[in-house]
Amino acid sequence: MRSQIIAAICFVALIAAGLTFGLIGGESHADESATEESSSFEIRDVIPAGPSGSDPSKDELFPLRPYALIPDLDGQVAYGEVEYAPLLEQPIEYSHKLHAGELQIACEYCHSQARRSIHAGVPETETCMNCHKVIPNEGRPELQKLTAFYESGDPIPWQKVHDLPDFVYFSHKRHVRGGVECTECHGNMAQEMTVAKRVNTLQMGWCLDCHKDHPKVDENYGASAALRRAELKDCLTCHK
Amino acid sequence: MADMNRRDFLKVLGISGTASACTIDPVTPIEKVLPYVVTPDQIIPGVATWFATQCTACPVGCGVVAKNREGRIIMLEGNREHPTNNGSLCAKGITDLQATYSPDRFTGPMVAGQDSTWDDAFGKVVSAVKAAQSSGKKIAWLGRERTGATAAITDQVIGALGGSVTRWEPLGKEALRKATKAVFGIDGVPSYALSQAETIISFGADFLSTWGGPDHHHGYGQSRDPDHCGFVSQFWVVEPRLSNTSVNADIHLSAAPGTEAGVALALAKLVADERKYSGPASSLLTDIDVDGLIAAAGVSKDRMIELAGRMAANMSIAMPGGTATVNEEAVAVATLILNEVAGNIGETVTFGQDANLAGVSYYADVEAVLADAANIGVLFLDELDIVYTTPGSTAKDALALVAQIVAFQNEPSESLTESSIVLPTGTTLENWGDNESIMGRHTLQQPAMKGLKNTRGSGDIMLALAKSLGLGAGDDDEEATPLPDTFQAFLMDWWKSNVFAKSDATDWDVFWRSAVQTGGHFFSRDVHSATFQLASLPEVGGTTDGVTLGLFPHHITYDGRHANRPWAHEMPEPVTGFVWGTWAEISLATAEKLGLEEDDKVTLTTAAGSIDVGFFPSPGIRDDMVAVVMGNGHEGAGRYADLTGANPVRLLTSMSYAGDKVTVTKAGKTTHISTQLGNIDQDNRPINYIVKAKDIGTGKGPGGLVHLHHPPIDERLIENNLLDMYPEPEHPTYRFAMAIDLNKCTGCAACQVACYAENNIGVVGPEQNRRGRHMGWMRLSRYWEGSGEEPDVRWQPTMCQQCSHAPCEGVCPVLATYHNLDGLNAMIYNRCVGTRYCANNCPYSARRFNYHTYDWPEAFHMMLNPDVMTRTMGVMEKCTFCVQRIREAKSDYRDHGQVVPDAALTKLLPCASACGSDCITFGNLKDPESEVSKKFENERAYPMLAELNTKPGVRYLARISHSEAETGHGGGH
Repeated sequence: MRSQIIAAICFVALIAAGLTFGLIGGESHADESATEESSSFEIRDVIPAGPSGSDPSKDELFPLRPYALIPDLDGQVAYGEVEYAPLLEQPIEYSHKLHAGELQIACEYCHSQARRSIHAGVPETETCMNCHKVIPNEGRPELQKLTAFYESGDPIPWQKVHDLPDFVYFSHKRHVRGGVECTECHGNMAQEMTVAKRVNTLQMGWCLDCHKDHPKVDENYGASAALRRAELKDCLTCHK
Repeated sequence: MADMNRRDFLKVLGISGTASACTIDPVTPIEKVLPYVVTPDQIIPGVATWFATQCTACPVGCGVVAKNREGRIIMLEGNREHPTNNGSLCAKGITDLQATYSPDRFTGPMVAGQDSTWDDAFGKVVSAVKAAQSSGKKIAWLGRERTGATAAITDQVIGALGGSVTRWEPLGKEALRKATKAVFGIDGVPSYALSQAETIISFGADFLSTWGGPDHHHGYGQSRDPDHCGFVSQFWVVEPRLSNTSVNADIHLSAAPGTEAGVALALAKLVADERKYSGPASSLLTDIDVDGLIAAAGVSKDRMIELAGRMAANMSIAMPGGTATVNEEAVAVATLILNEVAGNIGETVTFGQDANLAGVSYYADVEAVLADAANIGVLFLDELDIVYTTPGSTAKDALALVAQIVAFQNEPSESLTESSIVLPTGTTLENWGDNESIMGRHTLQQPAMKGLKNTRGSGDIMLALAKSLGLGAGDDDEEATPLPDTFQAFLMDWWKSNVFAKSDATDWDVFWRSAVQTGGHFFSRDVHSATFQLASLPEVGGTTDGVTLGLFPHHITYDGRHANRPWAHEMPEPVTGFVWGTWAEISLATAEKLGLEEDDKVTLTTAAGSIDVGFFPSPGIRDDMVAVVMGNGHEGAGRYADLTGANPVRLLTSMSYAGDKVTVTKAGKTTHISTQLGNIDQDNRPINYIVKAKDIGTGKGPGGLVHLHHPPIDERLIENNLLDMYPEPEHPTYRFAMAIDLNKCTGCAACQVACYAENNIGVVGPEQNRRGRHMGWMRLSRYWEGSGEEPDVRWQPTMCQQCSHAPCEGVCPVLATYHNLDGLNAMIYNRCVGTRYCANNCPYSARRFNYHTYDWPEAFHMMLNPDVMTRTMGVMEKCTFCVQRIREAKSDYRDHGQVVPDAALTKLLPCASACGSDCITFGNLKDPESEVSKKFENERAYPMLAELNTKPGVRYLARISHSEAETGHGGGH
């Protein structure tokens, strides 16, 4: 009987501790901020606002934050299970199926830095206008949006479909030059997608599936493939 | 749950705990990706573009290369093509990166404290000039040193208006310039080539810090290197205190303040007698009373004779006095006499590559302008905080009398009056410009990024002013070409007629493009000697009663111009370790007499006023001298500049940074400054070693000269391979390692700032520094091992030693840190849970913990290096050997299927590249021909705390000591 009481008290204490630290309680921060009610924790409550009122970063000399700043989410996540991958709404409904599929434009024509840089790059508006300055856009609202962006001088604010966390180093150059096909990670854009959609989880385990075992490593490295595989499993290869 | 036993209870708890943990969603927001509309030709997103430009942090005029990532400059490094700095960059230069991103920058022009537009503000300037001209008042320009086309445009426009141009540097070498004129009849300052000197004697010049440029570091480093010329130079100083430079000295002769010139003359006589000198200075030497001067100074005669013997026997160099030297001009003259009789003129003290002082004024000229303030209609102030850097209220009162002040500056300063028109000109990284700080070296400045604020370069403003006022290129010449529209065009024209025309090049376009890409055009000029023509000895003066005050510039804030850079304050001052404040160096005896304890403040009072500052009890300063650091204590010059400290210029009675009488009393308040130097006593641990100069060449093999502190090792352990607890890690391709030559390290701390710039290290501020939360990955430990005449101060740049048998790796519960295949001790931030066991275990105290998330005020966040993650609260961080740079180099060479060669590695890291005396070498130990492998085999090389068998990837080359004395423990075997 006493052991049951002690167990119950410990259990309650644990739950209380868990609640205090926000580990349990079922609600994620995402839901809280999305409902517009004041969430249980506001960064602004801890750091007093400076003379300029709303934006402490403008007044503080040495801004100290209690933990990482996590901005508003709207319930969307950038990486994770594919089932949760949202179909992102892009400023222009660009169709990969048309351009890469029917018109057979190569991936690297637009994503031109894929073999030169860590970023493959999203094409500059100028690249689109290479063709679209001679394509009539009457009655075609998406093309009119494109021209409007070009003439305004503002970059097109694409939502990043394939986003990795900031602590990850991913080099497109190394993968493209290693012989990894674009479709292996990005899916068959040409046949299956209009607006780009994420079809892989992009999580570390998925990356490691290839880093541990991809036929291109043997092809490229031959005798030293085992060493290369060991290097590819090294944490520092991808974590910065 | 009846009769539940303990095991089942824990099972239940465990399951419920895990179940609740699974309800957390991953939290990563959707980001945007913004492509260019039209990509500039030179930009590949993700690949850095480096632009060559100049550094304007001080008047030396070094060349830098600015790293541009997607339109933002994130790093500055020295330009290897530039003959002044040869690839190194001092702490001031790197700190100047923050000038562009300062949150206190003016967003646009301001008129009388109100935001304005360019049309409005410029219009007002034009009307002010016209008003001045019509009322017969003068136009004047008062600013910083400028040379080249940048100066030419000002001279031309202001000259056409009939105005005067006064360019003044508060820390310009006026005393030396006057001395050189008196002694050699040359209007300039000589160049000091330290690499050839076997004996270096300094009378107070802080030549390894704020006096002069990186060529001193380079020369000093070479003179200390036994492999360079076969000797190791001996460094003597004659000073009442020990500065950042003179703590490196082998022998310190503590002369009473004001008597240094006498010591120099006495030494000159001794050297002349020793060498049987019979040159033009002989007639002056007869009247020198050697014994009297030595007695007045209070230095040892035996040492003087020893020094004279050395100077007579070998090549030497005598450096003049510095900012904190009383009677600086007399000292400068005396040291030039000393150099003359020692035979140094034309050898180590040369002319021909002198500083270009043609347009630089003396303070007397500044005084004349200020005295005439009531007659000045428009005063153009060019980035010179005249109120802060001059004593008394003369400048402030004068500025109030000027009808209209037009200030060319980017941040507020004490010299702005209420009615000033501020025209922000943009920083060095945003404009065209040039300099010819040293004769023949034309450095070119190109915009490395687009202007962050609504700014216009001063050259463009001057041209627009000229056009508005109808000034042409010449009034009388009808065929005169009109002034160009932009300063860029003016610059190109100037270079065409003044640089291209004198060069061997034939094609202007090729020449210009090459000059822009290289960072300038450098003519080689012959060095030559000069003829001694001094007629009479300088007045040497003697000691006086009371305590003398001397000011010395902070190693980064310099004369105060960099005070609004958080890095300038966050970097511990090397000798004291102090951050964020102003302090006075007082002697140990004075501190004891006043009963001062660690956090106390002292009040310094002179005839001009008093200030409260912190204090540093220095073993190297005399009882009759107090030295105060200057550069801090601003009022209204930006949020960081105003933060702490006091301005010691307020204590001066005249424009002389040393000489006033001061009294020191305990203030009874506590100070904010804290020292970031840890335990400054080696406690008999094998940390920092010296080897005797006479033993060089006798040690065989690595560390042959260094007697490491080992308990005797049982031979059987070695025979049976039982010495190591852990197996040897495998390094198939690379084993990255670093060698640090302690013999060359001067304690300038450029490596520290470079590390901050490259790795997004957070600035924590004075309060957090007091709690020991300084985040610097590389610290400069300072050990003061000696006393009296042989200070034996040693530097130890300490960072993560990347041990092969790291004590930190085995204790991490989550394997966030481990030894990787390249020999690096990897730190994976997102895996770290913040146990801090690793930091506890590290014998070198190399790890730093983020007790908070250190955020960056706008716009410093634009300066962050995208290749390095910013750490959040709860995560450990430490030196990573800049793995991002290693990764980039490996990736670049893998494109060609190659291993990174040694040439690409030696100066790959920003700390190695910034070092002016080349003391840090990086490389791959698997390559037996690499620089670092050879340094590891050096007889002076030893690992720090070797007895712990951590097998570090860093080896230190012990400092070479000339001391004859048997050094005691504390590692100094």
